[in-house]
Order: sequence, then structure tokens, then C-alpha cells
Amino acid sequence: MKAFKIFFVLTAVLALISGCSKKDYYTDGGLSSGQYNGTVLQYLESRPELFTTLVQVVKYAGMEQAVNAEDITLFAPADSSIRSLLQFVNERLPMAGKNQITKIQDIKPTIWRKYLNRYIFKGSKGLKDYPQLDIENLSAFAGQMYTSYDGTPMNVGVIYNDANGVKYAGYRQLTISLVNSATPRDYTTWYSATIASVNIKPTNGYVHAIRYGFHFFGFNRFEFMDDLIYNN
Amino acid sequence: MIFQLKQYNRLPLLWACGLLLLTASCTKSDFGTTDIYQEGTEADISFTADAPQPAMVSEGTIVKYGIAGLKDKAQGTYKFYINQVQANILEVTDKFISVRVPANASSGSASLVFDNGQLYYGPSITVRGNTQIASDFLANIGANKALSNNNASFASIYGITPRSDGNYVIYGEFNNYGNTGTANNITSGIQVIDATGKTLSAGNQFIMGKRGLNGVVADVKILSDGSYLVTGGFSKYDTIENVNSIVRFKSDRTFDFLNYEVANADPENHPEDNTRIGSAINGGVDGGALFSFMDVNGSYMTVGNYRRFSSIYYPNSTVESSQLDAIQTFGLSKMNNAGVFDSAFNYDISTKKSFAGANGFITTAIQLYYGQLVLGGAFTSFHGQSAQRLVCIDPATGLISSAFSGTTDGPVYKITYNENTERLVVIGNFKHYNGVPVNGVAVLNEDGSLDTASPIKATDGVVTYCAQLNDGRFIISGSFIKYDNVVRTGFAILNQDGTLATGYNNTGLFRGRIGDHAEYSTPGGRALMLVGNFDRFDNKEVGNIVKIVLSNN
Repeated sequence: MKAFKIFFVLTAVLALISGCSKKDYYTDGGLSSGQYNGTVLQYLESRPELFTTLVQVVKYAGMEQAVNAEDITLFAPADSSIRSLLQFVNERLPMAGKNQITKIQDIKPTIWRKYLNRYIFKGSKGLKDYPQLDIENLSAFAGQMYTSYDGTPMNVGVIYNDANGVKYAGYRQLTISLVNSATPRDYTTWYSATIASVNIKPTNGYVHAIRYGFHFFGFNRFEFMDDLIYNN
Repeated sequence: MIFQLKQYNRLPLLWACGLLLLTASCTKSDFGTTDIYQEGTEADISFTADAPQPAMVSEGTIVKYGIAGLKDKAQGTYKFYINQVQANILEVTDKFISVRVPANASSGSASLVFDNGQLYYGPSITVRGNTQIASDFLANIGANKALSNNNASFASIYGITPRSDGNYVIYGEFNNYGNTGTANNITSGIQVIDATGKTLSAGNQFIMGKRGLNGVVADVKILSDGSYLVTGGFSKYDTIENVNSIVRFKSDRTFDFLNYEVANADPENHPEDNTRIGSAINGGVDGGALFSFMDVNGSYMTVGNYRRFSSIYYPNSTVESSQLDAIQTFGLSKMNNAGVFDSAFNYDISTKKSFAGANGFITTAIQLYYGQLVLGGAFTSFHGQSAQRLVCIDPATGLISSAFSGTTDGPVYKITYNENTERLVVIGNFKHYNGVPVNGVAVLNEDGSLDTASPIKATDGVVTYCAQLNDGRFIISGSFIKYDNVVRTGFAILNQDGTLATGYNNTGLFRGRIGDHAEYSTPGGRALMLVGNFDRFDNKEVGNIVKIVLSNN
């Protein structure tokens, strides 16, 4: 017990000495601003480990001008989601009498553009500009439908997570989804992607980077495969 | 004891003093809170949570949807749709909008579309009609699902074969249906269900042991004696290893096997090594097959994309090692019911292997009622002769038959055949059939000539299944949203002339692919069992199978 007392007193004294003074190794970084000094395309090019293929697809699909100069919001799918998609279709194409895809040029630019445009929206919008989405209660919080660059309607919304049992008090997560037009109130028929890094702010818009765990480029990989079989 | 208690009681006090010291020692005057998140926005127009009134409608019914924020918008800048068909707007207030259900409406969600493209989705209504999920299927819809590891998406049902007792055998690549499997008898890949889609009890299922067949079941034919010819991609049944893609189950659904005599080095001490267990069909194809068909003598013709036929020569084999008798055979072979290769069928004595077969994948095959086979796929030649994705095979010789002839300009993915109406439907990625423009679907007579009375019309997507029913109508399915410019999300019932059948096209979303169907008459209509790989029928969640009823008004 005596040893404990000594230990306690020492701790208290230590706390007293160290608690107040701010050492110079502590710097308050403040809130992350997300600013990037360059265009959306330059931002993508600055992260080659994530977006090399995406940049190629943007250029090949003829969206370079939009991504580089216009005021846009880009939900950025990482290269791994393009890879996942190509793996998926390559397993099935031979059976359908088609060659496997070995490079992005094997697919027509119009097909790339059809799927790429689902990620690009005119005008810059950040997390705060999108309404709440509750996938358990779509009739109350449905997010909102936005028309993408070439006119595909996409749902964008912010999921307010719960914190310690307090509803909607937790972290917020931006989500973009391809909605099935026949069953828009049935979330299980949506193809969704959640955002890992939100509000990255290059000079000509916003970039929201998509979490790349389970995302397939283009949202609906079956539709992409059909396009490769029937329209490529 | 008392002393110790006292000691412990002092602990919290000490800690409290410590905490006080820690917290009191710093006074941060600049400490404040910032919200991490800025105030979010709200949707400017929103449908309310109330169900539309009424929720069950017919053409011409007036429906009220609760909606907020619409009254402020200029009329005429937006349109209202019920499952993508435009509906006339009758009244807009600050609480609701009322519209009239249009002709050609089908069950589904409301949507409000502004001229600038802004879109708002609303709740769903059901449109009454003559096509419905059968009520006896619906009652058990939660269990009537083919699952693979509790997931329906990778649990395709490839086909459904009717049994003479009114029950059905379904087969494919699922490992659970209605939880009938037990530890000692798994029922993966093959299942007996009744006419409502409900699984039969465990005692009426196939006897599969603890492991069953180690691959997918691609085809099941019921033979005249009630036994089952099962074809697929497997090489083992439970613990029996001499199994090669084609097996037979007896009419009591037990595996048909034999004890073959083999060479035994030590019969005195190990008489148990005199025989070896193996499939009663001692012959098969390596790597799996797609379909098997019978000829008039009860022999089995097997179609697939394999390269080798093999059987075990038991007299020269032992319990541990097999002597294989292998024959190079390219995707088409015949054997008798014991598995003995038929060298009179698709076999070139001079080269000691089969003829060349297809130069691309075979994906589908059917047998015409007089025995001829029609094969479809991605090939352009067969047995060295030009065969543009379709070929007819003579069941006696395995050579090309002229009984049926047809060509397409793109791969064929599916052929369906209705023996009663004597029509075939060919589905694939082609634009011409025998040079005549078609939309990836061609209805044919049994000789391969195009049935011009049944032109299937254009869709805005891909057709993956189409078949003629016994009454002449068609079911068609795929990933389209419109058939003949009318909204039909993925599924439609057609008249014999290819037009939409009035009154039968009320159903909402179908999503996925149909692989096969079975049909029977019921009082007042027809019942269809659809199987495949799909998860929605009429907006309802299903698991690769659904039974629907087409009622006669």
C-alpha cells in the first residue's frame, strides 16, 4: 500500500508539471481544409497509386475537358474497382463468344463514357449540399436524385450514422447510388458506393473518393457485361 | 479484513484528488466547440411517408400521393410517371398530388420529373391484372429460395423437369433450398419440389450422403423406367470416386452404382479387394457436360465443351489404381446405358477420335421430338463444315443432319423448344436469322425456317429468355425496360403475333435471367414455374424461382 501511495503522489506531481505547458512538438493542425492547388484532373494525376487507370479512362472517354476545366463534382472510383470489373467480365466473355479485355482501348469510348459519366456531375457540391439518406427509411430521408453529366439520374445522400444509441448523431457518410427506376424505394435493388474521403477541393470542383472495397466501376457490372457482349 | 476494506475504500478518494489536480491545473480560456459538420440541406420536394390512396389500382383509377413542396413549383414544368409511364396530373395541393392511372401502367413507383431533369421518386402502387405470383407460392415465398451459402445471387437454378406425379426436380448450383438438407443427406444441386414451389420433405429428396455430387448439376432427364439421368460438372458422388459427369439415380432417388470385379494380388488375405465400387454408368466426359439426350435405343448422347470421353477398364484395374480407356471426343458422344462408348456415333475409325465438332463454345442444345439434336453457341463451323452458330445432329451417326438448318450472324445463347406447338425460339446476340433482320430472338419452325407469324418486337435492352407456351403465347425476359416501346421492366407476356398481351402485363420489376420454365393448366388459367438466376418478380424479392399464374380474366 505504501508503494502505491508513493506511486500515486509521483503521478499527480508529474501530471501537474506536464499538464499545462504546450511543448513545441504539439502543433494544432486545425481542421483539414481539403484544398488542392490544381484541377480535378491534376489531383487525380497526383495520386497515381489510386487513379492511374481512371485518368486513362477519363481521357479515352473524352471527358478530359470536363474534368480539367469545368465546374464539376467527381465521385472518384479507384483503379481497383475498374480492375474488379474487368476481372468479372473477363471470366464470362469467352462463353459469350467474345474476346477478353486486355487494355482499356478494347472497349469503345462510348461505353466507357456511359459508365464514367455516372460519377461526374455539373456544379461543385460538398458534403453539406446533399440531403440526408436513411436506407432503412427511404420514405422520410431519400437523399436526392441528381442528373449526372450526360443525364443519368443518380441518388446522392448522406447517411447519418448513430452514435452511442443516439440516432443520427454519429459520423456522416456520403453515398452515391444507381437506383433501379422500377423500384426506387427498395434499397436492396440499388447499386451503392460509399465515400471514403469527402470534400477534396481542387480548383474546379469537388472530388469525393469512393471506398474501393466492394465497388465495381460503373455500379452495375451485369449491365457493363451486356454492353460488352452486345454493343462493343 | 476490516483493515483491508478501509484501504480499498480510500482508493476512489485518492483517484478523485488526482483527477481534480489534473483537471484544475490547466485553464484553457480558448477552449470551444466546433461542429464537425455544417448544417445539411433538405430535399426541397418530398413524397410523404403515407401510402398512396388507393394502393391497389386499375387503369383509370385516380390515385392520391402525399407530397410536400410541389405546389410552389410552376405547373407544366414537371411530369408525373407511374412505373415510368406518364400519368395525367389532376390536382396539386400543398399536401398531395392526384393523378389518373394511365393505360399500359404496371406495378411500381411514382416519379416526378422536371423539365430540367430533376427527378423525385415516390412510393409504389400495385396495378391489378391477370398475371400474378401464385398465391400458394407467395404463402411460402421466404422458404422457396435456392441459396448458396445463404445467398441467392450465386445459386442459379439451371432447369426444372416435371415428374409424372406432379412434382418437379430442380437443379443447378445451389446448396440449400428450404432447409431440407441434413448432416447425413445434403440436398445441394438437386431438389424435389411440389407444384407450389415448396420443397418435399427430407425423405422424398435424392439420397446424396454427406457430400453429394461435387459440382453443378446442369441437366436432369427422367427416363422411361422412372430413373434420373443427371449430367453436370462433377467427378465424385459422396465417397464414390469413379464418377464422370454423367450418372444415374434409380427411381427411388438412390445413386446407381455397381461393384466391379478388379484384379487382386492377394485374394486369400484380402478378399474385400476383389471388387471396387463405381458408378453404374462406367463412362463419361472429363471436365463436365451441358446436356444429355436419349436416342431410340435408350443410349445417352452427351453434349458439352469437353475434349475427352473416358471409362475405367476394371479387369486391369485394382482397388487403388484405375486403368483408363480414353477417347478424344470433341463435345459430342454417345454411350449405352452401361457407359460403353458407341463408336458408330461421331467417331472416325481412321483417326481413332471423334470428328472435329464445334470450333467455339456450345452453350445450348435441345432435342426435337423425332430425335434430332439442335446445338447452338458461338461456333462457325462443325465437323469442319460451315455452321453459323446453329447445327443439327443426326442421333444415329452424330453427323450433321439436314432436318433442321439455320444461321445467325452472332452467338446463340439459348434455344427453347415447345413440342406441342412445334416451335423453337433461338435467343442470342444476333441481328439476322437466315439473313432476315431480327432482334436477337427468332421463332422457328422445326425445320429451322423462320415463323413469320410470330415476329418478336424490339426491346431497349437484351433478351435472355423467350419461350412459347402451349397456348401459343410467349414469355420473354431480359434486361430491357421497354418492349415494343411500352414499359415492361424485364418481363412480358406476348400474344402469338408478338404484341403485348393485353391485361397480362401489369407486373413490375423482373431482375435477372430465366433459365428454364415449366407450365401446367390450372382451373381458370395457366401456371408457370420460372427458374434461373433472378431476385425480383413483380417488385417482390424471390430466390431464383417463382410460380406465376396467368388467369383467364
